[in-house]
Amino acid sequence: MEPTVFTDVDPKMRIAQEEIFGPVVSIIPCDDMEDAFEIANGIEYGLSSALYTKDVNKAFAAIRDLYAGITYINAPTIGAEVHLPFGGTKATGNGHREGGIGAIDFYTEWKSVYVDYSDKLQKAQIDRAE
Amino acid sequence: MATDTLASPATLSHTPTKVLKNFIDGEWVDSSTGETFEDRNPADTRDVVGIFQKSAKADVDAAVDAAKRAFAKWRLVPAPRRAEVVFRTAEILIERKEDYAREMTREMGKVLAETRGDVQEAIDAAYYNAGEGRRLFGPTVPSEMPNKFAMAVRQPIGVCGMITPWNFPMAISSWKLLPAIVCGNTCVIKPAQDTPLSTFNLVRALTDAGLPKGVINIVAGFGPEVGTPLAEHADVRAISLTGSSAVGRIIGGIAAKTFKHCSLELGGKNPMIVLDDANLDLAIEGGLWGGFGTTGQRCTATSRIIVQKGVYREFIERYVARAEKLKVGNGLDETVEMGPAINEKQLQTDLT
Repeated sequence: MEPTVFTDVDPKMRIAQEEIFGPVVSIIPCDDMEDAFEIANGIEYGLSSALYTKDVNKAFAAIRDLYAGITYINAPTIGAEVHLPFGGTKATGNGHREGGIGAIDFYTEWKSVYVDYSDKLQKAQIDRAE
Repeated sequence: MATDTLASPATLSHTPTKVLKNFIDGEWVDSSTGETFEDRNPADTRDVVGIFQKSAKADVDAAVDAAKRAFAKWRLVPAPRRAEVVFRTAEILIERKEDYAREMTREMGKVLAETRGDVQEAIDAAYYNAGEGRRLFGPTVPSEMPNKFAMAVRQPIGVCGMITPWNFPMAISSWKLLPAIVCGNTCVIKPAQDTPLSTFNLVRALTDAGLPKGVINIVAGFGPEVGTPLAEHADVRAISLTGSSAVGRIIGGIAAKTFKHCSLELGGKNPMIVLDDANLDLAIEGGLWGGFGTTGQRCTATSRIIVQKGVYREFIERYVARAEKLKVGNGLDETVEMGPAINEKQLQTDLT
């Protein structure tokens, strides 16, 4: 399988919508940044995303508006590091994250602990200390 | 810890085929079915990298029982001590990095630079999670009442089931196993049937670092026979899957019915946007690495490039010219830039 590039792809085409999991890239034209964000978000998945620009304002707009678990600025969509959360929105997952503290959250249960050392019954929400 | 070796029919690498049994309660055991399956090199399908157990529900049950017994003791080992095993694992992986990377290229196909990166990711995950063993922070908060203390502590869940994909055979296993055991859980892992050896190599390093028996158990095999009973098992309290959205829907459904913790990391169709003011040289290099690195077989692969009209034609011309020059071949050849598709089924998907 050779690297394969499709150009002038319509964002609604199957090749621009479905995951292929191979060396196949679809190139899609856009008018401006807002149009690009709409195309970028117009899929069922939301794992990674990237924006190439020299304008810091546009970079922060992408961080805010690309609906994905990961956004790279001036770097491609790959290259996660293990100590930040990894995962995505929509059909990419179910809200959990691997990596970093996200994994620690997943693999533990919280137990809340109360130690009353007043030697009397204190009723929460009823006995209000002044 | 490999129990046996056979002469390989492969002529490419002259490396013997490993025969690996399931790893349950610290022992190497045959599957209940008595059947095995082959792990073949996608760059040279004559090369049988390993022979693994084609397991079934009875093997999952045995592994979960072992993990449940081990949990009774492992949960009581102080977290910093648990983490020391993981720290030592990082150091062992550094020593074995080249060997494990070469075995991974043979079973998975991606080029050596990338399989070295895959092992490095497991090393990074080991160091990070080893550090977490001395944190595992929880909040202490002021109580509403006088003479009352309030806090929350993190506790392990119990037996965790993991189902991993073939594209990052060691890295993704490490993302799941290492935080799980530092937190005090025990594990049963079903590695991807296309690339099980790298998970065995990771667990070999953990065992050599002093991980007690039963804390991690490996059951090799296929989704319906191993993954489904693992997700369904009543004693498995958390299930973590990296795979397709279709499989995620199945595992998520099973987990919901049995109130398990469930982590799903599924598909992507990742966009890279190139605006008119972008550094085009940088964007072209990024688009090549994102699109064709790992043969496009990453869940984060750049599969869509959205280009603003002012630079659209120039980008295409230069990007396609560079893509045409990428050298495709056997990943063990250091000059190759892109390896093969993982298997025949994936190749047919790519082509259609």
